[in-house]
Order: sequence, then structure tokens, then C-alpha cells
Amino acid sequence: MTGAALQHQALLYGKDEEYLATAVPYVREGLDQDAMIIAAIPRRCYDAVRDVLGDVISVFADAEHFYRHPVRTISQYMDIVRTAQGRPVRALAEVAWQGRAPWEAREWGRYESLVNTVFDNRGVSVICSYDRRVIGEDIESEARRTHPQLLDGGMFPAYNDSYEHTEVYNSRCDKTPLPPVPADAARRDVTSLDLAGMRAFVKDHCTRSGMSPLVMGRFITAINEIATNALTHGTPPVQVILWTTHDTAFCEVADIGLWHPDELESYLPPESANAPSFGLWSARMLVDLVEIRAGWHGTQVRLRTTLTE
Amino acid sequence: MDATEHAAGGHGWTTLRSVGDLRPGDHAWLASTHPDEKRRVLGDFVYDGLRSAQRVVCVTDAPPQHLPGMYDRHGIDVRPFAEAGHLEVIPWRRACARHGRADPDQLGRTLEREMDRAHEGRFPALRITADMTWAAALPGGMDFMLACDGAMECVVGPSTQAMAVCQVDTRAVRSADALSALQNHHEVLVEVNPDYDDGVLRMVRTYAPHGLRLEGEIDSARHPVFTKALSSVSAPRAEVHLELGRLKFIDLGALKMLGAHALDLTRGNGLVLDNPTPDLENVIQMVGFHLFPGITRGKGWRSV
Repeated sequence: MTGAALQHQALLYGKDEEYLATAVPYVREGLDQDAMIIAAIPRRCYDAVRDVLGDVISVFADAEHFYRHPVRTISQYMDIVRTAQGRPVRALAEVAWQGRAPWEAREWGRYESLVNTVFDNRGVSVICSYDRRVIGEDIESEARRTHPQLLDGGMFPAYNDSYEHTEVYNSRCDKTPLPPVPADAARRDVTSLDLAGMRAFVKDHCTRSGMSPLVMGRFITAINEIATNALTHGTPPVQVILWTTHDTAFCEVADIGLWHPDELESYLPPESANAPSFGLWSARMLVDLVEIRAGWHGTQVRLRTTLTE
Repeated sequence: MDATEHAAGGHGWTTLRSVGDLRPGDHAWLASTHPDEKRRVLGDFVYDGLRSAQRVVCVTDAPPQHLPGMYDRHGIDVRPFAEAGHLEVIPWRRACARHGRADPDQLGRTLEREMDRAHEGRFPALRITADMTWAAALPGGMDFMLACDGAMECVVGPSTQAMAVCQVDTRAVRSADALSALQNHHEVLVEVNPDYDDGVLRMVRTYAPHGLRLEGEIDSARHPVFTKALSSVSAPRAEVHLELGRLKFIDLGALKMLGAHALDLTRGNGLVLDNPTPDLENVIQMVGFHLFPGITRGKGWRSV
């Protein structure tokens, strides 16, 4: 698919008037170009824009529900963009930042950066707004890294020299070391592609942790995929390690080889199941988080899921 | 994984067994919907008997050399077996004619005589097949078939050495009620031997609808056999159904293969997935059904 290059701007605002001062002309300009207008913003912002412009927004998703899982959100966005069928798309976006754990904030930062790659050349223009009353300094500085253009409190572009290309940003996200595996984690060596035994081991552990059946089905499917990759591309011994905190289950698949999956690719929705990145991307869709650390000490892939939905 | 218990049509409990898993005393029923199904079940049943020195009695109007599945499936000419008294092919008019009329009780007497002969000949066991298709096509044939079935049950049911397969081509049966009446007469339903069974994954060919029933778990160790089975059912037919009700796990690689298969092997004609488990449906839903062009949702999906 080819279209106009992506316009990806961050808007830092501190008052609703500042928000409207940018959003309203932006949407008007879009309407003049016969663009499809979509909004995935807090309801408060949506109502404010609608009060001024009327019902001009074709698709509205409440930020509170829309931004739950970055990889799924990208996929949903992609589905919406597809429905535009070649028309230009103008989007208002504002990730719900309140109450995010540090790892979630990191993944949403990664998400903002991925937008630069996923939606390039698709005729998409998006303004990601950041409410200074909600976000802290750290999130603001990440926003500068993930958005090529910056609007500060109004219509006029601000100077931004911190922008990082997606690949750079993405690999920086993966530099933080993973927290250590607890000493009492359950471990099992995996030696053959016949993974029936491993699945039984995982299922037993998850059942005893009180994981709900649907979550378990997804968790096991994702672990199976990662373990298959480790056996196919990694270096034995391959080990599956499981542990649970009060509401979250973790699984680490570790081997001593160095296999680098195409990192960036695995965040982007594939065109079909035949795409090479389908397996890892699906694993990312099925659990809350998949983290990969590859180095001289081997490769670890850590999966995380809450026990119930 | 030999016997699978399931309720058939709400009429009590019946047991579904692969032909290779039939046991002495089984008086099994096969309503075949495709000639290949008949060849596989009857061919394997008779072949297993001949191979293990059991006596085989076929009540059918087909000549010995045309017994289903013998030459075309196992490549053996049965005439030497017939000449040696190892195999007996009895036409219906000889099996149950009495005073010029077809008498079901006479069938019972014939089978008892064959049982005695098997005993005298020191055969360890007796296998019986009865092809009832001819009677199904006649008016009033259904009562005759039910009576014949009763006579067979009397001989085979209590036996520790005999087992039987009654078979009818469903295309010849006039009403669905009659078919289910016949089926309810049997405690055991017989189906083809699985194409593959390693204790974790079991794949059985199905004929109504055409396709495969998958049971157990598929992971990448089983991708080669899975592809092979898929290819073998896909050859000339338009639509392939996969029955997934007992498939407990399928990995993403195999789902990917299904997507590719749906487009390639069936030439875009369609791969229909029936009765996925809630887990599997959830995984496919999560990943996105649109990634698998060519796959159709068949029966038993909870979401639309």
C-alpha cells in the first residue's frame, strides 16, 4: 500500500483550550481534504471537539479502553486505516497514561515510536496529544524521542532535536536488563520439538496458579511458539522457566545461543499468516508482553500475562 | 486412544471404534457415504482377518474378486483364500433363502453353521461382513434388514470369537429415519482406521462431510504428518472440513500451514473449520481471522 508519507506530531498541552486550538483546525483541514477522521482520545477531548465541529469524526474509540495492549492497538489501528480504502486518514490520539507501571510506560513509548514505521506511506496524519496535567517529565521526554514533529501548547511547531528513528528507539527499549528469575521458579529442560510434555508442565503450573482457561490457552500457544523458535534457531540446552506473582504469570524460555528475530518486524501486523514474522507477532498478541534479550550469555524470551482477563 | 464414546442422536450410548479396534462380540454398523470409506473399512476388516488366520465370511452378492478394498486397497487376490476355505463369500439368496423366500432366521442358521465350521477348522476367530445395500433399496427392505440384524446379534453378540460389520451404502437408503433406526440397532459404530495416531495426535478421515477429524495436539514435531494428511484429503475435492472438537492444542505454525493450505491445495475452494474448542477460537480471534484467507468458519463457532 502506498500513500502520502506519515505526519506524526506530538502535542504537549496543559489546558483544554490549548488542545482545541490545535485539534479543531487540524480536523477542519482534514475535512477539506476529504480525509477520514478518527479519534482514539479520552471522552473529555472527544466531547470538546464535537461541541465545536459537530459529528465529523468517523471512528471514535475511548482511550480508556483502546490503549490496553500496544501490539493489539497497532493492529486495531491498522484495521481502521484499512477501512479508509485509500482516503487520507487524520487521527487524534492520546494514550491513557494514568496509572501505568514503568514497564507499561516503556511499551507505550515503544508503541509511539513504532507508529512512525507502521503507518508511513499510508496517507496517515496523526496528532498524539500529551496532557501535561497527567504525564511527568519522563513521558514528555520520551514523546520528544518518538515524534518527529512537536507542537507545544498551540498551533506552532516547537523545536525538537531529540527524535530517534524507530530502530534506534526500539533497541534502546530492549537494553534494560530483565529482573532476575526468582530462585523458586519451576524449570524444565526442553529437548525435542515434541512439546507435549512441556505443555503439560506449563498447564499444570498455570492451573495451580488459578489462571483462567482462555488466558491459559493463549499463554500456552505463545510459549509453545517461543520454545519452538528456541529449538529451531537457538542452541541447546533450552529451558522453560515459570513463576507467578499474585496476579501475573511469567515464563522465560532461555537458551545459550544468540538468535535475533527480526525485532521490529514482529511488532507490525502481518499481511497474512504466511509472513515470516507471523509467529512472533502472534505471540505478542496473545500475551501481555514478550521481551527478548539476546547477548553473549544467550537468548532469553520472557512472556508475561495476567492470570485472569 | 482406541474407543471414543459419544451419544449418537440422543438414543442412548453408542461406541465409535476404528475398524482395527473391533473386538470379539462386536456387531458393528457402517453407513458408508463414499466408496472409499467402504473400501477402507471392509477391506481392512477382511484383510486383518485373512492376515491373522481367522475365518472370514462375507454375506454379499459381490463375487470374491470384487470384495471391496481387497484388490484395490491391499492388492491381494482373495480367490486362493476362498478356495482354501479360509474365506467364504455367501450370496444373499444362499444365506437366507428358505422355501423360496428370504427368511432372516435362515441367516442366523447359516451364520451358526459357519461358526461351527470355523471351530472345526481350528480357526481362532470368525469375522463376518454383511452388505445390506440391496435390501435397503427394496420396498419393505428395512424390516428385513432389522430382522437380519437381530439374527446376527444373536450369533455374534454373546460370542467371544466372532465379530461382524453390517454395512449399507447410505445413498441407497430411502429415508433418514430408517437409517437411524438401523444405526440404533447397533451398540458399536465402526469407522476407518486413523490415517495417523501416535498417542498425542490422531487424524481420522471423514466422509460426511469430506475431510479430517483431528484429535489431540499438533505441534511442530507433527507438522510433516499433518501436511501429509491434509494433502491426502485435498486432492480432487472442492471443500475440505476439519473437525476440531477434540483438538486440544494446535500451534501457530500449524495454523499458518492451514492458511497456506487453504489457498494452495484446495485452489481457493475452501478449508472449513468445524467446532473449534473455546481456547482455539479465542486464539484465532485474537490473532485475527482475516490473516487466514481461504479458511471458512463452519459449524460450532461461538462468535460471528
